[in-house]
Amino acid sequence: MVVGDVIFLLGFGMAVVILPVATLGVLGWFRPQLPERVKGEGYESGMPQASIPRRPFHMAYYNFALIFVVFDVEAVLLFAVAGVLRDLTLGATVKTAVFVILVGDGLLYAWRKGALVWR
Amino acid sequence: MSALFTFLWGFAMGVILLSLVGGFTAGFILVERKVSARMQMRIGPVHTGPHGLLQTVADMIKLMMKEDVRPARADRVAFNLGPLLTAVPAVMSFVVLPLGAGVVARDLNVGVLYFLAVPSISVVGLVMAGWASYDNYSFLGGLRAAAQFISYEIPRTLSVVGVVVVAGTLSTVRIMEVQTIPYAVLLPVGFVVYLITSVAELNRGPFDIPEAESEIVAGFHTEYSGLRWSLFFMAEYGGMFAASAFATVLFLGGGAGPLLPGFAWFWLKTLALVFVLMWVRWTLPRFRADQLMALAWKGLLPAALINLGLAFVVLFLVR
Repeated sequence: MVVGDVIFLLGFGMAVVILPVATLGVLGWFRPQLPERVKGEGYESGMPQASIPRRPFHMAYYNFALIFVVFDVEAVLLFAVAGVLRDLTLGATVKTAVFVILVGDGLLYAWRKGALVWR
Repeated sequence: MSALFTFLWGFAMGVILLSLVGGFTAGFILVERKVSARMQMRIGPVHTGPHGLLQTVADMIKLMMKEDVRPARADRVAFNLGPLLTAVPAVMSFVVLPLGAGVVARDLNVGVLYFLAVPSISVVGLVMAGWASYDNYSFLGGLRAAAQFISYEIPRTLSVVGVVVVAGTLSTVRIMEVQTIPYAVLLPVGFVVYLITSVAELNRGPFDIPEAESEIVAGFHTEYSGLRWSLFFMAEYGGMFAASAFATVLFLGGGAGPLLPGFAWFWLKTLALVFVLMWVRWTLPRFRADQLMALAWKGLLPAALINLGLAFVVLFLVR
């Protein structure tokens, strides 16, 4: 990524954000806006809301989030070398393979420990 | 001066590609309705225009003129931002997509990483929309979207790393050029993993638990209406095209093929993949949440790692 690319993406992103926002704003003058109490209630098949939708998360997220971080970092590190492995020596490929195997062993460990079960 | 030109060029490309994604959305929604109708032995929309061709146009006009309902207790800022944060990254991903040989908005030297990283921001929009709606169904949909995302992002990324290892470049245009044998032949496991995980990334059936109609009404977009609601669809159908085009670039050799020009081959392959995604959606039943997680971590992730090993072997052979 060079500076030119970043400037290009800034321009691109600005267009992609401004256009939908402007459309929403302009159409706001034409569409009806008739708020009333029942319309503003959360949809629960016609009944009043039974519980407050601000509940704690399921515990299972914790394990999966931890494993996610491990493998996401692995992926980022792999991207750093993947593009140039072709030009490097065989040793570099072997070392990368060893790294993948080590992290893969982590997956097996988590599997054996039962961390990959959603419950 | 040239910086200003680059900025304006980017802005112009943004306008063009946003319109293109809007067009894709309208077209694909009609095609999907027709395809699903055929699969369920119905005929689909036929009354608006010849063979129902204007159905989506009529729907869009209706959506534009609809009231923008917001739940009274919703978090106002997050509720308004959610759909935007879902749709904008999906359109941003088109920057590095070569639409035919040499037709690309900007050939970034980290194109592949960009394509994997930027659309992932969409899930933040989904979680935000689900949380901000102050609705139990939306809340569940947002949580499910988060769980699905963290599971399928990993195998998807790792399946693509295999291609990068073999191709030796991160630029989408270069990958298309150096691909003499389609990588789907060299790395079949990676191709399959990429396709399956892409369906999950897009929240489409059989991985549509974040918006499962028969369980949680419409998931994260239950409380949305009008144009704001249609932004979610833009993200889904734009993303569907982007994922298919990216698969064509990475695994199917881009515009390579006999007789027809490269441009035609590229679009044929991409649209065929789009059809496959629709076909899968209307054929398979929905996964349960725990089956979904098991498939990702015990099936697809090991498969992606095996694919990576395969890529190392291929690299060793071609040297």
